[in-house]
Amino acid sequence: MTILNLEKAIQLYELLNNYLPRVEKDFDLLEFVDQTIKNIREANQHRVYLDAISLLTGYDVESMVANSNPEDVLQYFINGLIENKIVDLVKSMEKLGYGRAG
Amino acid sequence: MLDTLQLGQNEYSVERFRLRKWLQLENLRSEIVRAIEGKDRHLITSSVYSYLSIALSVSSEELENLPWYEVALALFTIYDLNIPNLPFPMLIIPSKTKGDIGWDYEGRDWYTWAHMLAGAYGWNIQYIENLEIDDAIGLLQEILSEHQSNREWEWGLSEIAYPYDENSKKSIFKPLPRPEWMTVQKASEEPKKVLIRKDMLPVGNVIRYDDPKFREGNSTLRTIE
Repeated sequence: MTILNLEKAIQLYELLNNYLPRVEKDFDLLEFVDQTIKNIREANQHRVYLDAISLLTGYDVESMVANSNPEDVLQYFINGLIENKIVDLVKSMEKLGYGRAG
Repeated sequence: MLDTLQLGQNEYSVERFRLRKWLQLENLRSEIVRAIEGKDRHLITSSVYSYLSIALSVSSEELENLPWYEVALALFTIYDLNIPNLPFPMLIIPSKTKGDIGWDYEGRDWYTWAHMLAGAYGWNIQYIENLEIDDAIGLLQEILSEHQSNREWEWGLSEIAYPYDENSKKSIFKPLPRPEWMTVQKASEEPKKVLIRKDMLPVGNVIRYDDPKFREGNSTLRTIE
């Protein structure tokens, strides 16, 4: 799994921004990630999901779809968000004034 | 104030900057803000790297290979360390009339500040560049207030301050406009009492929010408080 540099982390935030839940006071990280996945699924945004995984793993979307099973891909996504401290990313972007839609 | 930061394998000590470096970094901070407003990811990153390069003497190439959260933490630590301690109106209240001027150039802020402080106190450049941030801002605000007060006095003595009013057939004093930061009233100031005609007052039982009797008997209000 790739730990993103600043530019790629901003790119990840831009990709997921519309699907990230609000960070509540007593949130659970896994629930946060789970809700993000649900939001992407509900919006039917497969491309967002795949682009985010591609960014997190460094693999291109086509080879990932051809060579990985959906469970592995899902696991990449979850691990990628956790290792890249997704909640801290949201808080940092908000602190920078790079606000969230809505 | 001294803080330590970890960036990759290296540890950096950071402290509150002195005037010249602070002004340089404030310009870069404005660049970051503009990049964020323009939602330009590449520009945001490059301006953050420029800010940290100057603040910590780290190259942009090094920063590019670091996890985003180390870079962000370094940025916020330096930001927080360099916030002025006092709420100077000159910095808080934005100027609406500020525009680009023809003779402006990058880094002019420092020369403007140095020029004004040297002119007012006779200090040399080395002394001014090492001034504590709050002292420099406070003194500059005083210089600007004094300049404004002198200009207002001169304005009051000139003919242009008394334009002729066609309606009243008199010359009426027109005060010299002040910069925005000098025109804001203190929030704590009591509102002016205005007399209202009796027949315009509300009729019936008037309940005042600040009446203790009313507040004791009203549980809803207590919960709102």
